Amino acid sequence: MQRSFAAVGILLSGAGLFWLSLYSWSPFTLTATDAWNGLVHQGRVGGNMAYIVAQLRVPRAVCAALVGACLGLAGALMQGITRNRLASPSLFGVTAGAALGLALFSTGLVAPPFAGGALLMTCLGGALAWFTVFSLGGAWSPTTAQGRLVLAGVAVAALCAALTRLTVILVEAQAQSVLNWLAGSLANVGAAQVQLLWPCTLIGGLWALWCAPRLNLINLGEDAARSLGVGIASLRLQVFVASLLLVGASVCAVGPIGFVGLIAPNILRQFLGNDYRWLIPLSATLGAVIVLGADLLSRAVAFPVETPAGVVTALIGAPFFLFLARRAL
Amino acid sequence: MRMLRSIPTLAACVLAFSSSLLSAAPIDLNDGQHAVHLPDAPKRVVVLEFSFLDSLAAVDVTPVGAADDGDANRVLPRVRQAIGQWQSVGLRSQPSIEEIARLKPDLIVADLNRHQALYSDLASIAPTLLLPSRGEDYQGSLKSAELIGKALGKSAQMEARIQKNRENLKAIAQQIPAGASVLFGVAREDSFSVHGPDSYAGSVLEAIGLKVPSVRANAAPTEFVSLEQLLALDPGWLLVGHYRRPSIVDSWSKQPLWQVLGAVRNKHVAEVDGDSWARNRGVLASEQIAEDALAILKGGKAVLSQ
Repeated sequence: MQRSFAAVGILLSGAGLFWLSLYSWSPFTLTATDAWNGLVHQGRVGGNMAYIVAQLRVPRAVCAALVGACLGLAGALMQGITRNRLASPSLFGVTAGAALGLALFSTGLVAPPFAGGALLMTCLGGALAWFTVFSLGGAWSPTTAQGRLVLAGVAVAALCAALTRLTVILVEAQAQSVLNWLAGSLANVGAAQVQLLWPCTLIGGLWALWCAPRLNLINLGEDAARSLGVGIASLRLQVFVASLLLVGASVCAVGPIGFVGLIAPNILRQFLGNDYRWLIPLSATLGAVIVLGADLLSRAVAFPVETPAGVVTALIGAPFFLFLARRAL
Repeated sequence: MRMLRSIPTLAACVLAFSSSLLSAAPIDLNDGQHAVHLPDAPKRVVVLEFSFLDSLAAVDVTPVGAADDGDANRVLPRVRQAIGQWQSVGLRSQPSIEEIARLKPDLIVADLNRHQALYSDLASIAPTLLLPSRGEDYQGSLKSAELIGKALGKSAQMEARIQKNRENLKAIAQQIPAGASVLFGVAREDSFSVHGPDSYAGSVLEAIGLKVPSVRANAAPTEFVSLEQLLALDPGWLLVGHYRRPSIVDSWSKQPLWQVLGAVRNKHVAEVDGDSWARNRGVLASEQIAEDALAILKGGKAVLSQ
């Protein structure tokens, strides 16, 4: 019952924020009618304002929701496989690694000469960071303290940030562009980003749902899960690939937006417990709610100039992490 | 006997020393941060911003070194022609202190905005002027040029050049359609930053009688805008400097919404050289911007400075 209430509440607030983000904080005077005409009639009726909603606001809101869903899913998956409540793409350095991959790509230092090179470099950067964190942090050892993995994550994230900075300094011509993108902004997203995000979110989301029952068993302990027929190594690999796809796509589309993967599953745990069959779909929904809200706030803070949504999530996420770390460590 | 023989040499030395003392004209000035004392008009100057190169070009002084991001093509072509070759001392954001020291300068001109943290290192090499450059507007850059003229011992020449610059801009203002709204912006791969009335290019455009729209009250000199904000600004003329192709403006221009912009419908969108308009400031840069604007607004097409 509590789960259904939570699900309905999150879905309703997501729908509300999606609707608001179609017409609020615009330099034009957009109305709810423009939003309706833009969303339902794709701007074919209602003049220029509805057209602006259809061409700019709808793709932006869809992008925000998809990015949030990707990060929420990745956070839930990472927490499930490591049985560590502090696990998340940003704390494990995956976001910073992905950002480094994309910085190398966009400055032209390492640029595979084929389509999809950006997504590949982002995923490779994330994969390398994750692999390093898990090796340093002794992730698979049952005796490892939770804090060790987080420390390894923080160290690798700092290393990736330093290397990204070095990349920016070496190729100063693109510096400003990369710095903007590193702040994680939804200001200039459009149909192209939606095209990149939706297949990755769909594949990653279905994959995560498929892993959910086995993540529940892992939660009982690896020995118990193994005795119940769960292939631990295969599950780890699947979660690894699915998370990378989700984080890679979101970083590639809008830059690194931190803490969503940490916040969403942990809030839900208070209501839903550790059942990943519920945690995974609702983490995606709550992630979408958080990024939609952050994007709205980012437009409101210095209106009509926009601040990056990544800054807003970091402002909310950092105290949340400290609160969680006090309880979990 | 030996002492007697060395007297002429000694006398020659004393004479040479006293004559150098007599010809030396010490220069004292204050850059707003520090009092700077120069024993004589400097001969080996190192500058760390393009606007300072512009000031040197205005009085025909060639620096021994300049921070040019390792790419001399970023410097305004007419500045390059005026001053010839210099030695690169690295990036404007991070100039090489060792390289600067190796050139044994007798004056360094650095940017108050970018190089304040390096001041003690620079001052230990040579007397250093810290002048505002990045984020400076037209009038401010003329003040910096005046101070550089004074530091070089060429005050009169610089003042005459600044006067000529004011006359040049005035002559252009008389030919340009007064009050036309013109917005200049720099397009990168994924961002578009507009240069408002307080930016360098914006203030030059206003100096020649054009109107530069502002993103908001108390806006920063340059602000990043989305397509939605650009549509709301709806300038009469849109001048774009592309730092990288394809840029965000290239992708915006493929969207149907791009046609909503008044400047697009009236074919008032033109391309300008981003380096000349956004990275260079100073006497020569302002003339380049004003001449480009005149050519575009009168001819209605892009003029790329070469």
